[in-house]
Amino acid sequence: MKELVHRLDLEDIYVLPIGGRWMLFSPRNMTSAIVNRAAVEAIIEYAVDDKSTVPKTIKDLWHKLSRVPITTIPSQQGPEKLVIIPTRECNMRCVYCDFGASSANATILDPRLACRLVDHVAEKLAATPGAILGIHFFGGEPMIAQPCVETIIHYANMVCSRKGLTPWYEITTNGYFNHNAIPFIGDYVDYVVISIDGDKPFHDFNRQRGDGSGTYAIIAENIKRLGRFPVKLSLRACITNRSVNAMLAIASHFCSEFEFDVLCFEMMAETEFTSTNGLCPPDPNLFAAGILQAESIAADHGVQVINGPSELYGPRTTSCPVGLGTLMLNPDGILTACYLEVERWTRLGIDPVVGYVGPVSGPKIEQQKLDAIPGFFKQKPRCVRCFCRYTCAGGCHINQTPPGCSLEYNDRCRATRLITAGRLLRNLKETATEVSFLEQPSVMKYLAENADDRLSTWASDSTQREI
Amino acid sequence: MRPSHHVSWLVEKQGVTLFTSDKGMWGSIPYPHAGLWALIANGSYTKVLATELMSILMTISKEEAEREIEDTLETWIKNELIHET
Repeated sequence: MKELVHRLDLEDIYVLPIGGRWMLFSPRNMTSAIVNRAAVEAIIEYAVDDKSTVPKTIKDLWHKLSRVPITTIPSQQGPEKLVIIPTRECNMRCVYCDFGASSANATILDPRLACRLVDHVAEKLAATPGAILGIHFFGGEPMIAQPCVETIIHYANMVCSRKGLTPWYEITTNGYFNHNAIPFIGDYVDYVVISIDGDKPFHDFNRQRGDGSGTYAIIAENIKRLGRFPVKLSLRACITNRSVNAMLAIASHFCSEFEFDVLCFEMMAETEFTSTNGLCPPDPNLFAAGILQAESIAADHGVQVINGPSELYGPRTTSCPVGLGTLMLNPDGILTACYLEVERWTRLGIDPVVGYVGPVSGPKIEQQKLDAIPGFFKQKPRCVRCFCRYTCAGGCHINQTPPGCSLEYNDRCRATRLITAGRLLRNLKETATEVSFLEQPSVMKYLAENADDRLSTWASDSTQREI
Repeated sequence: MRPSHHVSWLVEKQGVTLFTSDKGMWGSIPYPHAGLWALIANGSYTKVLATELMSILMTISKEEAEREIEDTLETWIKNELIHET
């Protein structure tokens, strides 16, 4: 057989072991197919020599897999959205908090700084008719600074109406706020993400007040009230080793209790505090199976289940706003390329500060630094062999695949690989294969651990071919 | 301050449209005054909050914002759109 490694188009086509069959996947155009071993071999034969006599179906499949992508990898032109962090302070003390809530600076953002940034971005966007000015409020807990949030939204509405722009507001909140805030959120915010970790026992174990008391009752009531407003509502559940076997029950509970649109499951990140609270990240196989099985339950209620790095959206170079030119305004007026604290980046030798906003001078953006951010994450040796390379794109660039990270998959990689593969199977309507995939831990484990998914190496790796 | 009982309103990105039970559509309140209406409608109106908001929306001093708020509230009260609580 001829040398395959020189074929760049083969480099970006992947072949995954699914039980006794194989799934071909081209993330460049999001095409996939389930085939047998002989078909994989025929595909490779035709890819190497297009004069070879292979069946027409094989030729057609190859052309579908290798055709030029319809969509392109997102460019760096202008910010996708602004992220505004009104405060890093939080009114809760979750046992797994990865954001340092207990020691967070209580500074509240001067809304005038955000208004200057809105002016700047609106001026740039005004040249594009119908452009959307998106703002995402993040924290800390942004609703601690409710007047700040309200002022920014009213100001941005005013600027957008004058410049013919469409504003879009999102907020990520813990949901632990006075119910008097509901009419404002319901009327003025378009997309609300609320963290709730399950039913009362699960949630109250994880997400507590400073005195250790639970927060479920107030948050659940706020979710119910918000469900009556025309707002897109997303419930975000952090899954731990304690709750991973209850993911279906959690999905059912939410669907029966609340009116909402999106259910986001995330794996808990290990911190210095989690083990002392008896928590560790969930098993990736169980977590993936939980998501894939919960999707059916949720779909019956019109709810979409999401998991950021496992969304079948691609090809992309990042699965978060970092690297898309997004500006994050911190409470002290500093502009960063990521919502994580600056120290998380500087520890890796990267400076995420891309400017600041002055009360009089307005934004001073170091465009060169902002443009250079994607370059830090362009080469991810761990991802080169993985079929999720252009959909997950390495997940969190700081926590999961920072520069210099190991080449081996970690549990987040394993979970992402399994969820992505499961969703591809579902899209192919390979119900029987999907069921057997979910019910056979050995099949899931084999796919999760598959060290190299590339079609280019499949032919030369006899261990893979013999499966 | 609270909206009068016979007043209902529709929140839009460019402002607020008011309706009264007797006359139907009363009219629209564009920004910046739509921000002041939101504080009243959502029950979070205080003089301090309103002054801060209007001074930012209108890029005026706090003293000017106070006068603007007084004039606006007087008009809205006169039109029976709001009442003092």
